[in-house]
Amino acid sequence: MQFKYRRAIIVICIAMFTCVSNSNASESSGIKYFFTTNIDYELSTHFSLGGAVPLGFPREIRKIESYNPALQLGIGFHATKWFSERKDWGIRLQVGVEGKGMKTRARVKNYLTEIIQEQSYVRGYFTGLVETDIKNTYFVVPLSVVYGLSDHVNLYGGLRASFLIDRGFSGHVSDGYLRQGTPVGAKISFEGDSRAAYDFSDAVNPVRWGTQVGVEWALRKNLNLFTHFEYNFNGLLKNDFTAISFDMHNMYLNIGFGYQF
Amino acid sequence: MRKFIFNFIISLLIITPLFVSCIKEEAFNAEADINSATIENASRLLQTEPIIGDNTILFRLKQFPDNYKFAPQFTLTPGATIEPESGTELDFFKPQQYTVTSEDKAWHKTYTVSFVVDNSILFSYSFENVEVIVTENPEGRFHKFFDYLPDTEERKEEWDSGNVGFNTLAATLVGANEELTPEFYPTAQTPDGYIGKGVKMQTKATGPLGGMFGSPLAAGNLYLGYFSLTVPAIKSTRFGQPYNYHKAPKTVSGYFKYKAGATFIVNSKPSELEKDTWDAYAILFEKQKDNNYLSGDHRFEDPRIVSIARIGDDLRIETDEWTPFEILFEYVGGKSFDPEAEYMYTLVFSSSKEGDRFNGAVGSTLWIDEVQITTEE
Repeated sequence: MQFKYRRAIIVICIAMFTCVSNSNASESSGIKYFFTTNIDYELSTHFSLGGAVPLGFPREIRKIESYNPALQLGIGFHATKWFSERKDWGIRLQVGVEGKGMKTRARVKNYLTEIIQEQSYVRGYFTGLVETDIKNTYFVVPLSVVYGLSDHVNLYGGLRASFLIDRGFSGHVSDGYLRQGTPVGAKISFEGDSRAAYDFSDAVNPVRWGTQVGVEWALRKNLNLFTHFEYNFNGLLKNDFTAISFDMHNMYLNIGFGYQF
Repeated sequence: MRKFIFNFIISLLIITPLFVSCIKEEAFNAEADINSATIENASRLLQTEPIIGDNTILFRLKQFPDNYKFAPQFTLTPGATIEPESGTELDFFKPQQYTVTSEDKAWHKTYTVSFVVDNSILFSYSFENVEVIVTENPEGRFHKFFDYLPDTEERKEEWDSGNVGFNTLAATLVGANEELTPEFYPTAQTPDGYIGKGVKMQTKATGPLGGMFGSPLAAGNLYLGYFSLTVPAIKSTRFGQPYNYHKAPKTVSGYFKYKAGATFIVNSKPSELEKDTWDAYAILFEKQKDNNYLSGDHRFEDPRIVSIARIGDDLRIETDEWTPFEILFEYVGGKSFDPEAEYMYTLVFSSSKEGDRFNGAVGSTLWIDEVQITTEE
C-alpha cells in the first residue's frame, strides 16, 4: 500500500511540475497565473452502470438469473489544465465521491466457499442460488490526459485511485445444498425458501487502482455531457478472502453532466 | 452529434450482455451420490422406503426372508457410475459395499448397503450401548446409541440425535483448552445412569455460524428415528420407526434428572417459558406410502397422529436425584388403534422444550435412563 501511495504522489507532482513549467515557458510566472490561464473547472454529477465482474466467468457460475445495476450516483469536481491556448492537450485532476454497486442473482454449481465468522468456519461446495447485494461508496481521485478532438469534443483517459468510505457486500444462498469439505462430503440441504445469509462487507478492498477512458461533449457554452468507461485493476475484495474463489473487478460505464466555468 | 451519442451508448449496451453470455460450458458433475434405492416388490417386503444417508443405505424387511439375495436398483447423481452395477444380485446376509464414481472421475464415495429385519419391537431401553462415530471431513467424534435384540448379538439401530448436525461445526466450536470428545456434543452416553449407563442431553451454543445456518441453539435430543442434514435445521430430525406390535402402546416410563441452564434465550417469539425445561413424548402415527416420519416441526398437528403420550408440567421440574416418570398414551382426533393397520411410532427426549424453535438456555441438561413401554392387554 505504501508503495502505491508514493507512486501516486510522484505522478501528481510530475503532472503539476509539467504544467507549471509549461506556463512558465509561455509567459509571466506565478501561481495565480497558473490557476487562471488555460484552465477549466467543472462540477459534475453522473450515474454508473456496471458491477463487479469476474474476468472470465468460472465454470461454477451456471446462470445469471438477474442483474440489477441499482442507482449508483457520483459527484465530482475537476480542473483541466491545458498546455496551450489551442486546448488540444491538457491534464485533468479530479476529486469526487462515487457510489458503486449492483444486485445479482446467480445459479452456481459446485462452488467452493469458506464461510468464516470469528473462530467458526464451514468450508464446502455450494450448488444453488446466490443473491448478492453490493453497495460501496468511494472517494476517487482520477488523473487523466485530455485531448481536444474538436471545439466541442474532448477525449480523456488516465488512472484513478479510489478510497473506500462506506462498504456493503452481503447476500444469501438458498435453493440448493452445501457439501462439506469435498464434493462427496456431508450434504446440507436447503429446503424450500430457507436461506443462509452472509455479510462480507469487511472483506471489501479499501483502496482500488484503475483506469478510465471517456469522451465528453460541450452541449452548450457551460454544459458538458460525458461518458467514460472505468475499470479497476485490483479486485473488489481483499486478496486473502477465501469465501469467493474468483477475483471480482469493478467495471462501470459512467454517464453524466458537468457545469464548466 | 446526437446520432454519435446514440450510437455510442447503443454499442456499449450491446457489449455489456456479451460479458453476461460468457457463461462457460458446465463442468462434469463432481458429486457421487445415490439419490434413490429400491428393490422388486418393495411395498410388500419393506417396512418403509429405504433410509438413504450420506454413505449408508438401509433396507428394513418386514419378515425374515428365505434368503438375503437381493438386487437393489439405484439412481445416482447424473453421469456417475456405480460398482457393482445397479441391479446386480448380491447376498446381503452381511452388508455389501458399493463404490460410486463421479462423472468427472475425480471423486468416489463408498456406500454400505444393508438389509435388516425389523419385525420386533423393544419395550425397554437401558442405553448401555453406543457406537463412536468418527468423521474426518469435518473432524468429529460422537456417540450413536443402539440396542441388541434380546439374547442375540443382532443390533437394532433405531435411535438418533442432532449430533450429526452439531458435528458440522463441532471442531470449530471446541475451546482452545478443550478436546473434541463425545461428551462435548449435545447427546452423549453418561457412565452414571440410574442403572449402569444412561443418556445425557445438553443444550449447546452453536457459535456465530450456527445462526447463519438457521440453528442459533442446539438442544440435546434423543429420539426413535433418523437424522438427515437439512436447512432449516428443524427438518433434519426425522421421528419415527416401524411399530411392529399388534397391540396399542399404553404407557412410557423411565427415570430422569434435569437442570436448567442459567440464561433463557428466545430466538423465535412467542415463547411460553421464562425458564428452560425439558420435554419427553411418544407418538403413534399412521404409516403411508413414503416420507414415513414426523419432522422436528410437527407441533403435534400432523394428521397421521393416532395417539400421544407427553409429560405434563408436574414433571417439568429440576432435580438432581433420579426421579421416575410415567406418561399415558391418549388418542387424538377420534382415532383408535386398528390391529390390522401398519403404524410408526417415536419416543423423543429433549433438554429444551422449545428447542424446535431454538428457544432455550445453553447448559440445560437432561439425564434419562431405563425407559419402558407397555401396551394394552
